[in-house]
Amino acid sequence: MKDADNLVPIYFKKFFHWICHDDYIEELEGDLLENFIKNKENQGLKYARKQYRKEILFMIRPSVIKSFNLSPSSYLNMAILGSHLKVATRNIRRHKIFSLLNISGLAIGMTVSLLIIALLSDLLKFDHFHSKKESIYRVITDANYDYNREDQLATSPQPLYKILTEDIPGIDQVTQIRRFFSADATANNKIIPLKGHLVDEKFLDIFSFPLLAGNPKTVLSDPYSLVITEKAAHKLFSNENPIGQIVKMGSFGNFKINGVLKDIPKNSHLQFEVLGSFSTLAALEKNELVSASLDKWGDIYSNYNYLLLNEYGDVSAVESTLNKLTTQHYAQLNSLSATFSLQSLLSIVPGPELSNKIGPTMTFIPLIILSVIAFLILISACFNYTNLSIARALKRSKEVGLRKVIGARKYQITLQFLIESVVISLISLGIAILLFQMIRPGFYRIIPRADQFNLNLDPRVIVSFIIFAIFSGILAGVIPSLFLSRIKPVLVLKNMVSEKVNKRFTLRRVLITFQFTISIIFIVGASIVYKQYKFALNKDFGFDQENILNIELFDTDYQLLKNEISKIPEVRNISFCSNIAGLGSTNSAWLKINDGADSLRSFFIATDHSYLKNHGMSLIAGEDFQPILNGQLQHAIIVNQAFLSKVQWDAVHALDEIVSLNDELYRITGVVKEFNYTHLEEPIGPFFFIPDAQYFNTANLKIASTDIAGTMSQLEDVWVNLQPNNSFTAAFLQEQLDNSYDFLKNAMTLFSFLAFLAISIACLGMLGMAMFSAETRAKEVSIRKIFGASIWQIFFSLSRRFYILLAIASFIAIPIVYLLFDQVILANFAFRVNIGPVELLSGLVIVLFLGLASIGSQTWRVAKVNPADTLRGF
Amino acid sequence: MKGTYLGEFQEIVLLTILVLDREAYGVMIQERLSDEVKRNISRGALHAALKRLEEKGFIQSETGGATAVRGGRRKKYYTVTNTGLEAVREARDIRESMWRAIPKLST
Repeated sequence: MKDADNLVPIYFKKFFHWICHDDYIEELEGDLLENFIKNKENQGLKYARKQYRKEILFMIRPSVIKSFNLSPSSYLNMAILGSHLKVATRNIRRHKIFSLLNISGLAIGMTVSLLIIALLSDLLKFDHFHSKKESIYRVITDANYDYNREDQLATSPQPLYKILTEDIPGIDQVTQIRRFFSADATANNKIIPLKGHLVDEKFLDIFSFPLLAGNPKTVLSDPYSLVITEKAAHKLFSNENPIGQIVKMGSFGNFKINGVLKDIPKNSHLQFEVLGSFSTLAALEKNELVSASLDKWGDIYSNYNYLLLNEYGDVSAVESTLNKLTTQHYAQLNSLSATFSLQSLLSIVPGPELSNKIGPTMTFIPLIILSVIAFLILISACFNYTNLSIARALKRSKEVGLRKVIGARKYQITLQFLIESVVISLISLGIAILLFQMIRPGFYRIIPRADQFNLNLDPRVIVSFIIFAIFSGILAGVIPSLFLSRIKPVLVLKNMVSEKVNKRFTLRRVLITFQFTISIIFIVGASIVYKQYKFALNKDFGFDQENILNIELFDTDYQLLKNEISKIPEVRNISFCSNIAGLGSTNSAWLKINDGADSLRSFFIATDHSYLKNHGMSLIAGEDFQPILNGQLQHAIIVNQAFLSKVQWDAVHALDEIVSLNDELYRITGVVKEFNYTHLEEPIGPFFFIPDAQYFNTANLKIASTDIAGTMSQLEDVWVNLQPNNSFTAAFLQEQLDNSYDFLKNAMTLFSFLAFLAISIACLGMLGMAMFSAETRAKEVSIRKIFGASIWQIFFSLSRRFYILLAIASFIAIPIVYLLFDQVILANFAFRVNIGPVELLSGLVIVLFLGLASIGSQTWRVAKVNPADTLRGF
Repeated sequence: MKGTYLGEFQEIVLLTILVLDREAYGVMIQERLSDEVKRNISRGALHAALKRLEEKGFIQSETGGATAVRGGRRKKYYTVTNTGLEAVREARDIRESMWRAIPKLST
């Protein structure tokens, strides 16, 4: 009648077993079962089960259920806890090698997670030092351009200020910030580039940037006032008192320092070294030193508006009033419309990616990706522990059996093994923190914009680390502890546990396969990114990259510079342009073609007549520009082949076509051979060169010199004479192009690093498993040897399982990584490599090699032993 | 008399045990009881009554042998003690004397 026990509603039975008082359990369960059988025979199974459930519900009464002691003392008796700890440390010490494998694996796995935790902890505290943080909002702009492009900007037009301060209720204070107040500051015979903004006097009221010197109410009131951070002040004036000093801010003019600010914390989205008074802006705009933005609704790019809501302020009410009051201004502008919304200070970092952002930010997607990767690595490390513990369960089963015979409950055994794994993970945490400190500098380099984070070990982070370590310990120990606690003492004493352990092979195989899969994915990912990086470095952009030195012009007169620089014999040629080709920055404009019947959006770079020759670009039709005389506008453009195919003209026919740009007519005088005017992520589209000196901001010098350093210092001398306000900024085109693909190099480093971690963990796991199986199969190996098996045969028989698992892992990993890179990551590149078998198989080969090495070392050890020694104990 | 008071349901349970004599264990008592009162008595309710009766010393229990029908679990047999017998008798006497005292029915 054992069957009937399985026919009763199982969860009701378990529930009853759990709640019933121990004294009555046998009698009542027996009665319930007997009744169930009778009912089943008389009225059928369905009725019996229904009756059974009903009976159990009626059992819930004080006279039946046991007394539940809810205080934790019964579970966490201090003496027992102490004993568990002692047993755990003894076990760790006794099995030194396994403990070492477990601890180092977990430590490696935890390191990445620690980085993520520190990063998240920093992010959660971003901008939290402002005392009014909850009420501070930024006005952001949703712009809609006439060519159907939409953009979300952190900037907003300046005239909003008046509406916000005068017409909208619920707002306490508004501060306006003007961008682009960065210049080379000259004072005390020093030139130091300083970054900053123009802000009004409310700025220091709304934000909590404490002043070390100066009155916060007045420091930014007068035009040409300056507030400087402590660090920048020290750079300029060393230990002198900076208050009252005059600083020449590049071409903006002379400013008087009225206040010194405490240095800006790293976790602020507003980063600056100087603040100029906003009242200066009118003068700067009048002198055309900056573009006009005051009272311009069309300039949505130059100003920021931050506001402080009062206690009655409501975000959506402010937004709707604001948009109601601003629509009329955009009705007049036909090329642009804009709507505004409020962004809370606390949702700026981490937050959405906006154009014209004021400082570094962090979007959610990389955070999520990093967290997922960290979790995969951690899980992989936990699996090592799980695997090794289950494999070694045989050795621990006697202990469990004995404990149970003495009277240990199941939960006590579970607790014991969980404590053991938590102890191991806490030891690992110690090592992981050391590793964390070691890789932190590298992390800043490979993660874009990571330098905005402190990643400091403050108490909050340490506590999170410890909680995390306990969590990892439980994660690693839960399966083995449940498995071990379920061992039946009778089986142990009869030596029958080994059968049960063997049943667990499937689980272990799944876990190992998972580790291999992760390792292969990272290795293949790293090698694909490496291939793309190499490709970007060696790609022929269609123009010469060598020996071209690009100098930033600032507001230098280019004619003057050309005259002076031409005197240096090492400079063979000099040309000017508005954007450096291949770096990803271009201008764009709408051209009217076919007598204004069609319009075409095209990219352009403004150049002079020497540019094409200087860069070794060739024309396939027509001729180059004429030299620009006295800044006169030449009505000529040179287009690329993509331009022609877009408008379906052939090269010969296209010459002498007239196009119109900003109501000026231009003749197409040449067609340039295809080249990459922007970076490789973008396809080549319609493009033209235009000889327009007002756009020039870079000089391109063709250098033929054996003494680069000497030439550079000559150039610098020329520069200082011509342009004392700005420092000499020059770089070789080749380097600039190479550096623009640093992000690929960083991605590759990141992937390689993760691959290295994943492989290390997998190898430690394999080593442990190989050691274990070599140990348990020592006798089998000896017998095989006696029967004449060679070392190779033994090696194969011990590693056979490994090949199968590796094959399965490859079947899972390779398609995943191929699709991920082919369809998602490389799909961002218009010019990209194809993923070949070499990259795809690299992961398989590396894991195979390392796996064979770790298995081989153990097999070798066992196979070398004289069989007589192993078998004597038989 | 608190503690030795015999409730109506407890009284019927006590009587059932007496009726069943040597066969008085959980399932049998429940079955017989349900037949007598013509409704289903839950095992839980029966358990509560048995526990109270045992606490008052009206019944005592002993564990029987294991049977396969019950998945190897042993039965618990109940027998009525002298005190228990005394208590049902007393209850019956009270009832009878009161029945006799009802004027309409006595004629």
